[in-house]
Amino acid sequence: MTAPNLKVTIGGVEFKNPILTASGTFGYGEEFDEYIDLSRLGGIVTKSITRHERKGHPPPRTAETASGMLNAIGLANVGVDAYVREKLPFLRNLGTRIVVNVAGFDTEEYLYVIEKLNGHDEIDMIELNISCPNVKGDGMEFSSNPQIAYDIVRRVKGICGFPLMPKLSPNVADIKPIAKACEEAGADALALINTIYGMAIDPVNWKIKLTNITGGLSGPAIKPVAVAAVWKTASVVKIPIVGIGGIMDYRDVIEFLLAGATAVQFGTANFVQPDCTIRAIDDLTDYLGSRNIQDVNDLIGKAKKT
Amino acid sequence: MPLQRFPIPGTFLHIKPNTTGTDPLLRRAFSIFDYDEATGVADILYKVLGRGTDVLSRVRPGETLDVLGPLGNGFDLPLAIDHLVLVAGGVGIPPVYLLAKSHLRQGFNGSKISYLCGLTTAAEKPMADRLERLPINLQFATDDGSIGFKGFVSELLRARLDDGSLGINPVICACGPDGMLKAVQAIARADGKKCYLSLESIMPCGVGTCLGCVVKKDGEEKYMRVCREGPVFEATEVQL
Repeated sequence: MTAPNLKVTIGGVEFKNPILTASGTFGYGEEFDEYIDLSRLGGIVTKSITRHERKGHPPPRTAETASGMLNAIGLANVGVDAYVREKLPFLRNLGTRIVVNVAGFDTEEYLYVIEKLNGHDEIDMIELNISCPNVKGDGMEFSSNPQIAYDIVRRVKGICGFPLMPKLSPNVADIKPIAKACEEAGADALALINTIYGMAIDPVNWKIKLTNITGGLSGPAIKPVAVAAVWKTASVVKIPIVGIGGIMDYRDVIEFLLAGATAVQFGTANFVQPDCTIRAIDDLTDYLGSRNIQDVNDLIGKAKKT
Repeated sequence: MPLQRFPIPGTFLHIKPNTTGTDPLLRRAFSIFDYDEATGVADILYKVLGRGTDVLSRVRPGETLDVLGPLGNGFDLPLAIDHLVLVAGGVGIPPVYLLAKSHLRQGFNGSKISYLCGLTTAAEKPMADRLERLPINLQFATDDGSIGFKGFVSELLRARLDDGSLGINPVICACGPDGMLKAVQAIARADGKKCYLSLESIMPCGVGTCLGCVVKKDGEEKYMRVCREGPVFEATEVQL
């Protein structure tokens, strides 16, 4: 039997397999170079970049919770100029797709960063982190309101030289109208979910574990929330969905594809097992072979109701 | 798998607690305590504090653990040192023990190594037993005075610096709880002595990507990764 097809297409970009790394868990790629063969990945999503360098929040920035972890790193990053100068050259010839996660605190910041990235053809796609607080709009996340999400995606799409994939927050009453708004505004794909608000307190010394008080929960603990978000979103949009949230191995990948995702991102799992993505690619290949499934695309949205 | 060569003192192993599920989820970082060149076996020393160490404490001989490492930047010290002063508090014993062993192995004169070991009480002494097998000057400090000096190990350091028994130009290397490190840092600063601190931090990834384990750089609005730039820093570099 010939090897099953693992290729997927998102926003007109072909990925050699549906396994990517999630922003903020894989640095700028170079940190993992000594642990895995980066060229085998479907794609790398690099850490959120902003207009200026950001130092991030004071420590402690992370706390482990049941089957998960909280983080409040504070979007620490080198800033777009240093990113282009120092980080992009390494990513240029890796033989994998490069997705750049862009964050901002107002519309101008997103536009500024993307204009700086335009023309760098080593970039294959932009992941728009619209889950950060909008400072001008009373600190609410851009992706917590369909109109705000529509406006920002529309503005960015107007100038963005790459396929555009907004990354949505799960911290909303209903993700569907927001996903729909992004699609109508011209998004080429959607990535979901970002982390879930959380907080942890030490019962011994009564201290809140994060200096930032609250943080984003990630890891296996959030997987069911993410699977449901993918399922709901897939029922209302036509553009591809990239599923994120607690994915640890190939079985989780299959679960997200069955829910309607075209590809997935591994996040917290990279901290636990640096080669988790490579293992998942191999295991997914074996799984498809053992089931006589010729094409990974045949799994997308095929979850059956009991 | 055996460790192929003598590890750099201060480097750490990132160990996944043996669970089939996802709780505890993340690896735990432990400084390398000891290394046996004949077998390639590395030892760690830990106290059962949370779920991760509890799971580790249940590992039986012969079981396999998933270990990443050695990771991080350890002590990078020349042999041309007037006096090597090692200060440890509680489970901070390992990195400076391995440093003593490494220097001895390279021919450094043990009479020029002083190890000041701080414990809460004599009952903790078994974890320091192998220190007594090294041909160095070993002195204990306990909170209750049950063995050695009565008081904090930082106070013992102060006293020994004042009585001149640590030479004129000692290099101080310390590992232990935050309060102890702050006190040692203050002493080194006051006396203008070269000093290195081995820091502890919660390290989700251990390889420099998550940016969770940072420590503030002294005098600058900048953070450094304990797992990558550290865990050993010059005392003048960090704001504790």
